Amino acid sequence: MRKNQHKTKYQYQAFLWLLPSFSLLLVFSYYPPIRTLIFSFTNSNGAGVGKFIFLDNYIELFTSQTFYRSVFNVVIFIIVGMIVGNFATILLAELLFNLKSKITSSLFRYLFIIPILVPSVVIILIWQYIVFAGGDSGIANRVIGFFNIGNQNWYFDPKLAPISIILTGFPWVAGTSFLIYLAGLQSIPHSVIEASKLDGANLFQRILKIDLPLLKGQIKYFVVMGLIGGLQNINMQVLVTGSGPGTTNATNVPAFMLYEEAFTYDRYGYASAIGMVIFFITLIITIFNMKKLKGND
Amino acid sequence: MEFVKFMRKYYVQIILTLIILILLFLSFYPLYMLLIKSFKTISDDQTNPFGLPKIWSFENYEYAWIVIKPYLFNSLYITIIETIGIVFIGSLTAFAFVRFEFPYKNIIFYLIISLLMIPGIVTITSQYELVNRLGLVNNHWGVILPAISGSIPFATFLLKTSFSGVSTELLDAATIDGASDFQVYRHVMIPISKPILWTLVIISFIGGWNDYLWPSLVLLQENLHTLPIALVNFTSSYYGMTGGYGAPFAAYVISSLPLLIIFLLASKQFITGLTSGSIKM
Repeated sequence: MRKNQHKTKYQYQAFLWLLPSFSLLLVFSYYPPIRTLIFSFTNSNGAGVGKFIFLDNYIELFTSQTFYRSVFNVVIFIIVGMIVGNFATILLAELLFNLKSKITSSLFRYLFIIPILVPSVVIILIWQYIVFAGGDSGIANRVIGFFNIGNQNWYFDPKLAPISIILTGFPWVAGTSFLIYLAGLQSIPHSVIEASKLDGANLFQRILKIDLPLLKGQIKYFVVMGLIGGLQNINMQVLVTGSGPGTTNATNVPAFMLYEEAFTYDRYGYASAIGMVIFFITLIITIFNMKKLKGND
Repeated sequence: MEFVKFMRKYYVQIILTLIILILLFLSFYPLYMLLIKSFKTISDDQTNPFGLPKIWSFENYEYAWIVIKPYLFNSLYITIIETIGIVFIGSLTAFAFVRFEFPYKNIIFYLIISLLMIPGIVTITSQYELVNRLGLVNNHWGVILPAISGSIPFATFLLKTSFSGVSTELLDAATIDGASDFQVYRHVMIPISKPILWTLVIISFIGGWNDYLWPSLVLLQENLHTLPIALVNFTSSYYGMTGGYGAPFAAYVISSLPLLIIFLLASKQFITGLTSGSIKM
């Protein structure tokens, strides 16, 4: 009976509609992860699979000083980046939200969007050649010059390089996240805010007790995206700092290790093992977050 | 009493505005420096790195335009094809999930969505080997096809959520009037879903326009380079030749214009594009 019902209901032309996406996905999205998994157990150099060496790549990775240094760096970059980034963008969203004049508020919002339109590679180049430029012509050197501190080499100083990476983009407000936080604030019912005023809550109490709890969904989203993006974004390393000045690994991260092993040393097998480790970290974060989300609702 | 209250309110607003202006200044100062440096000659910038140009010179722009023009068009070509591909294939896929009943529907959907959990960098080794074996290294399609494929999961998810909101009665009415499935898609679903399609267009365009790492691996031949690759190379070669950055800085400004123009022409769609894409996640 049930089987019969299904037979009449199914519209098999659906598969024709799915054909374009699946022909691409099978080749470019489903095959590569499987291939990476296989690679990670071999000593492949990119030309074919190479010899099976079982867990040797993983053993090498987990006994490598460079790997632990890279993990340490990426954890710092992600945590600090997430805290300052979310603090700055929530601050900007609150500032714009609390402006009485709606015209000035939306004018400011327009202006803060403009830096997003600059290509991300250009932003990095601006910071490299204008803000953190060496010598007297760099903005950062000029600013610390006011405090009688001598010129620094920023991205190319073993101590300063990681800090410089974190400082890149200061004051970190230009991005899409302030728009999303602002939209979140604007969706708070007016009556809730009025009620808090009647109860005598000041601006800071309202932000802490009403706004932030209501932005929890957005904050969670940016935490997950920050983690996953932070694990794989290596434009800064590829374009400017590499693994760090000399052999310090001061700015190295696992994804950049992967990139170098694969495309500088042709060690596809080892690079793929790094990739699998990054994948499992992402998987754990995602599952953890989904569980937490479910628990809260 | 009323006056004091008024003053207090006014005072808070002034502080808020001041903080906003400081943030605005800090965000724009590097961009402002880029802009004025792009109009300076090399000797002018060396003697006077922070001031306004002595003479506003367009020479940097003339030279930069000649150098980056071919790469600007490479980038536009790749980005536009990627965007069309993502929106077209993504909407076909989402339409199938909303309009049809078919076996293993849920499993197939989760099979697509689960790809969102695999960061691109994880598969970069095998992706490169694959593109190489397909003969797509030094070919724009070696950038375009993986980019479309990589965006299908997000596009499908985004569009399916929005397509499900379109009333089934409306779609059924079109079918009863004799419209084929494709006509329902083309003449009912697509026009009704314009806002979310714009969102996807903008997200895809920005993504393609900004992409650096993968194109720099696949497009080794210089004449195939995209704009971000060309900007990096132009900066170091020009500095090697002249010891200055004027013309590359002009090139940075030029490469920021396409998105700026789209924003000025369609700011409303642009802002919803930037926001709704992530809220729906």
